[in-house]
Amino acid sequence: MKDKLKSYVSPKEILRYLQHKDQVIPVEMQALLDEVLAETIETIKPKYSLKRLPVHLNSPLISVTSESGLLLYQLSSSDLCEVTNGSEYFFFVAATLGYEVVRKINALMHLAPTKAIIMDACASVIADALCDFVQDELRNPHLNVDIETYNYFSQRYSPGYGNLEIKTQKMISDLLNTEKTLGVHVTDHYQLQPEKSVFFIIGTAKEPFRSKLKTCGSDCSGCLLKNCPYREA
Amino acid sequence: MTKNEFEKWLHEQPRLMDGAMGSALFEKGLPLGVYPESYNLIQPQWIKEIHKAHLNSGSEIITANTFGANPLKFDNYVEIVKAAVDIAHQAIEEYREESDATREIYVALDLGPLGTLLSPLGTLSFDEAYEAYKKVVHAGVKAGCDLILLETFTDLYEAKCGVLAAVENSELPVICTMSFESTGRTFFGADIESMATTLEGLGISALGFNCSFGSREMLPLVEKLVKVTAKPIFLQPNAGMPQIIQSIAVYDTDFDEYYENALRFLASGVSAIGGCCGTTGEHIIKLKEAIKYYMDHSENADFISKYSAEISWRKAYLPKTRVASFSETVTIGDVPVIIGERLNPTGKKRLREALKNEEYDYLLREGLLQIEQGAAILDVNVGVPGIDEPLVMKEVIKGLQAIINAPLQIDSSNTDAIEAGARYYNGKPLINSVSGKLSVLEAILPIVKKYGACVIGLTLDDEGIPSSADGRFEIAQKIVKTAVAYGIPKENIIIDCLALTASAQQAEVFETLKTIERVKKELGVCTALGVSNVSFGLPAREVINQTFLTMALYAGLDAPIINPAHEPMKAAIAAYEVLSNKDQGSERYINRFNLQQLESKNIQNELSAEVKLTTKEHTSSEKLSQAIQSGRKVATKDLTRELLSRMEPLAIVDEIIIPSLNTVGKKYEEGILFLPQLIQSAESVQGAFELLKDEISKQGKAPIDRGKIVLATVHHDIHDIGKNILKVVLENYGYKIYDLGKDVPPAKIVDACTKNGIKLVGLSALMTTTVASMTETIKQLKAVDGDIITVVGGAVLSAETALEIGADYYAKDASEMIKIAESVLEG
Repeated sequence: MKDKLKSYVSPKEILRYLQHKDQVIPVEMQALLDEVLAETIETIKPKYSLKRLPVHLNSPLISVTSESGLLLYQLSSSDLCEVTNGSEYFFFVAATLGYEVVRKINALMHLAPTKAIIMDACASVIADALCDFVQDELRNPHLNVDIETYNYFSQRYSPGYGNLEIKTQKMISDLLNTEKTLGVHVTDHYQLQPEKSVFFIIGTAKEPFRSKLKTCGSDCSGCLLKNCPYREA
Repeated sequence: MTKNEFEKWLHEQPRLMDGAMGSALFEKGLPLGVYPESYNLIQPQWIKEIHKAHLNSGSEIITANTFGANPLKFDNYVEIVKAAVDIAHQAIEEYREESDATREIYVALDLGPLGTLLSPLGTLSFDEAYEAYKKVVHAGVKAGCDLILLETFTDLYEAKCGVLAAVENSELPVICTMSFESTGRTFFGADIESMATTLEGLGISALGFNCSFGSREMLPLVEKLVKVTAKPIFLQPNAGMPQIIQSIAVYDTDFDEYYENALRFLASGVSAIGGCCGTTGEHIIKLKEAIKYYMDHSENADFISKYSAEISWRKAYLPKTRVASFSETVTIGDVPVIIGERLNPTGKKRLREALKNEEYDYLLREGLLQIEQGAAILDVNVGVPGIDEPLVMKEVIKGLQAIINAPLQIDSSNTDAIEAGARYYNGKPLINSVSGKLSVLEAILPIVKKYGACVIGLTLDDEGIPSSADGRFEIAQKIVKTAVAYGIPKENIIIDCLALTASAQQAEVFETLKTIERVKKELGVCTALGVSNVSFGLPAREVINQTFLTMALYAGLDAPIINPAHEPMKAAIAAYEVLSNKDQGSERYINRFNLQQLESKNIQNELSAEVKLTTKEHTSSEKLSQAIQSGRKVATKDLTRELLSRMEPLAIVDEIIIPSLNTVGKKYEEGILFLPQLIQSAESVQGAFELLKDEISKQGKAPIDRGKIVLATVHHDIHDIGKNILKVVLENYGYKIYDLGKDVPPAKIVDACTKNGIKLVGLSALMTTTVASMTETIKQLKAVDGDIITVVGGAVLSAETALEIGADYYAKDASEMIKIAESVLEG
């Protein structure tokens, strides 16, 4: 998986995390960035787990059922409904880079903090890249037996985006049994441990999706991420 | 049932555990997201039916449905545990009535992970976790269970915590099994050897594996485990690898393979087998058949021939002297093992200061450096007058094990500090030390036994250190005999034959070597030695140390306690390994010296690059400023050292370092530099500050103190990278930082401020849900002292939000925080 994952990792995105705009990067700093990226990839233990379940959307309500129609969960998010409008199934996905990279970052903070913050940025970007990789893997018939029929996917959407409550993290964790299968825990304030983990939902349908919402699924006026670099004026 | 009775029962023949409870309940209709343990009260009949299915298949141990029944998940855990154990007993009773079966059947209290991670991975403290387990154990004992099974652990620290709670709060047999990935490590990085090394000495009756995968995938792990422990082994693999069919995990077991794998487990010496997820009565029947076949055929030549590999695994076990962290086991006695000695305040003023001032980061850095320099084990001694040694030992051990994989040696003459270190240590520690003094043996050996530790015994007693080898050997003999009488296995005892100074006791140098030789040959235990004592008071100490080290290695020294930064000493060890044929083909030796040449070349290149940055015309002050602005650690430290010969330390700080950092800060604000360059500059002065602090300390002057700041990520928030960036920058501006970590309750922040007279607090939060914790913290701080200034930062905050929640300032980045700190603390 790591070899394929590397191709999803954007060095530009790592630089953005490190607050780079258009500064000239000295040769030694570039070498350090490359070295730390390689070390991060060496250290991570990427894993993921997913489940596809039927859904019925009636904004803002989303009913998640078993294949036999038994209601399992009910979510409430008009934003999620908007982004996934038309979905007949949701994929619930949990992805993680494991604990070792977090431990390494913590150790580096003591001896080599520059490397630590670079590794932290690399790991954050790779966690997103892992999500991109999994999203592409959903086109693999081995993973998605109905890809011939349900071959359109929505944007991916995570708990905490827009008006999808952060506590949905717990629901996904229970559904995928992430504690046991991935070693990913959800704190009582719905943060994921290890930190370089992501849960997301992605809708799948027979017709293309036409959401007007952006990748994070929220318009800026309603979003609480004040310092988001994508925020529009 | 007592532990002895249980262990005797295990030795009679392999035993049959039960199958899955959780997956069986899902089959019956347990809804997703509902705790299975709640069904002890909601649908007790289902639980009983599952137990009876296993009993009908032949199970001899059934696990009560209490896996998640702990106080963190259930307020009514006592009721649930009682119900679970009652149902199990009822199932047995009904089974006996219906079947006339008379075999012994035991009910195990089943303890799984608490569901909340222990610090440092999570936020639950060891003591909080211990209390939770202790309560469940009490409930289980009261309810009448026969033994305690801790299972499905992936965090060795939590497993140790649970085991201690079980062993210390009941007399029942305790078994602990962990869940591994096919890589041979758990999600949290624990490896098989470290698991066995750590757990086997804690008073458990058996250990092993459960869950994760089926028996086929478990076989290679069993091979590793059987070779590293003599403890009885319990296995409960899943029914196989699940296929997800219509979103449900479906296990499709090949029962022929399942049976065959069971025989392989039994041939390797496994004491009990059962099943985890997906296993049913059908699986237990197959296991029962396998046990019967094994009992009938294990002595036959055909069986022995067919399973010779598995039988050889068992025979490969040898008791060895081992210490372990959660992820790394070090075997002492095969090749020389360096114990790093630098975390010992004796003769180290800077370390003493760091301990007195709670600058634990200094110790962590020293620890990390020693590992980089080649130490396999770290000695940890925090004995400084005027501090709470047990508390400091606990904090330092916890700090080190959060970032260092190497095992630790707990070094103290304070019994409480030794106990604190051993208890909170995530692994099997080495305890330094006992001696031949009876009072010391009586105080410390029980701790060694309780935590399954290794112990170093010093060859001295109430009369002092005997001058003769015979006298020292007698003490060594006494230590070994006494330790064994306490139940400490011989392989856990290491003898330090004590190096005396050649300048004062020259004739006795060889007595140390003779003692080492006798201890190795006649007592059969490993040896350690603080080598550098021998050269105290003599010139060219390195020459004496190297020579003595080599002689001691030849005499049988296994674990030299040295400064791993000393290349000549490491070179002596490397050479000895070649000459003694331990480094076959001299591979390590050759690699070592090739690597040294490469490092030397890299340093030369770095220095050349640095020379290019400045010209001869630049003064040292200018060069230092340049080095800081370019983030050059080595040059910054070297130039600082040079400037100290003609400038006062505080002048270097005020006239060069701070202005240079300010220049970098300005360039960062203006977007000329980006974040790693800012941090690199801050990092570059770390070494310089250590030199300056040393010099100030030598001069007896007051330390650099621009002011004190508390930093914390607020309660319920676990993100700390922003706070950590601030800390690096602020520390290297000369501020004393009290870093309280993450998920810090308001009261702890208030306490730190009041205790240390701190007037400036930096609070970080990444989540909107934790801004409320920030608000509460600010409220509590202001209530205690209205003069405390609060600065907040984090992705979800802004200058407006900061005011709304009552903060005094908002800092969007480290540069802004520096300005605020300067303004608040220095006017």
